Amino acid sequence: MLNSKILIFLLSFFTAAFVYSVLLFFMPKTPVFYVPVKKEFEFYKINLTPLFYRTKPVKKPVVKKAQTLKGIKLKAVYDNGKNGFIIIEDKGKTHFIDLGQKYKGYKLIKINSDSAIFEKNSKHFKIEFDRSKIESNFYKKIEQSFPKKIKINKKTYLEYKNDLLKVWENIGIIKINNGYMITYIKPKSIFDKIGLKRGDIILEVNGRELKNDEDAWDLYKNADKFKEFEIKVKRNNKEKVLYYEVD
Amino acid sequence: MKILTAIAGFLLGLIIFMPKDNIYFKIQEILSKENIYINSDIKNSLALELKNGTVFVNKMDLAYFDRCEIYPYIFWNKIECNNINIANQYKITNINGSYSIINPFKIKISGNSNFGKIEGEINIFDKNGRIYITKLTNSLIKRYLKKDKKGYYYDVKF
Repeated sequence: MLNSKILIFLLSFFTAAFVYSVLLFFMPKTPVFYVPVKKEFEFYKINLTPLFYRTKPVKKPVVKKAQTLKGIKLKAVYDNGKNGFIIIEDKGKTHFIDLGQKYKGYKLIKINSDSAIFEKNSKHFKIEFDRSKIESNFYKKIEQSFPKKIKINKKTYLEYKNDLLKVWENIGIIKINNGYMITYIKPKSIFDKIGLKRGDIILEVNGRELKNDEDAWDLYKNADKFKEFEIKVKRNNKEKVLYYEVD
Repeated sequence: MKILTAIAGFLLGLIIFMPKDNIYFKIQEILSKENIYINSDIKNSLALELKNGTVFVNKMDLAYFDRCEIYPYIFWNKIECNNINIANQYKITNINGSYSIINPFKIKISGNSNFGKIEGEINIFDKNGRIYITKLTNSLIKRYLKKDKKGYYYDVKF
């Protein structure tokens, strides 16, 4: 009696194993993994402005090699290597002086691109262009040609970076064909202050197109790696780049 | 008596021989069609253990977990997860979901997180549920929740 019960138990027990072995034919044998495509943000912000101007004029040590001629202003220079002349202004009058020519006893002995050297009694005298005027105008023009950056306070920036809910509380974004459209911006919020507008379509951030949620999420995750942002938006059917600096 | 012995033997066999990892692969396959992927290390013993997992939703790695244990014992099933990190901001220290044949349509959920205590039930027959978050520590999360006498809750529908 006991043996028959054990036999029934074992038979049922292994029937279960048999049922599973049949089911296994229809079951996957390997796990399903997602292999994320690692995208690196290849965004390098190289500051080329120092090539064009100095933010703070560097004071060079003054080496007094030649004395200056008081009251005489250098207006123009011409030098082709062999011959040359300069134009000077003295007491409101303009004078042309050839290389080797004397003016008030001072002999013009050398013409540089920005100065001219005279000689008198074996002493050298130098006159230069008025650099301050040239530089200020030149640098002002260069500065104007660079886009204006909007500064974002780092503390505020990190508050949003570390709280996704806070982001969604202040801005609404939906995915559309070619980017992400801003559907809502809370008045006086950080997004309002930095100049984003309802209806803007965010096309690119730091050179990377926002094609899907993965791109947007990747950007959000890596946002703290950047100190500067270039956001390309489509506003009123025109593309515009907004520049931001985390300060 | 013989029938009872047969049923007992069959059920014990079902529990012991259950191909837990293959069932898990099947679940992965079904989820992948919804663009949800779970990458993890798998260890099969009496319980199915998932370690160092990452949950991808629409190719976004939205959640990480240290360990999840699944106990599929037919009459009583349980899933227990520890240290779930959602979007690098919300941390669930532990969460349990249990299902018993005594109450076949309900899954009980309980857990602790850095935004509050989680408690609730999911009705698999009605395909809905209510998860209460008590002792709420994150005020921003309130706007996504409703409130009744018991506290703040989130309605689940699937």
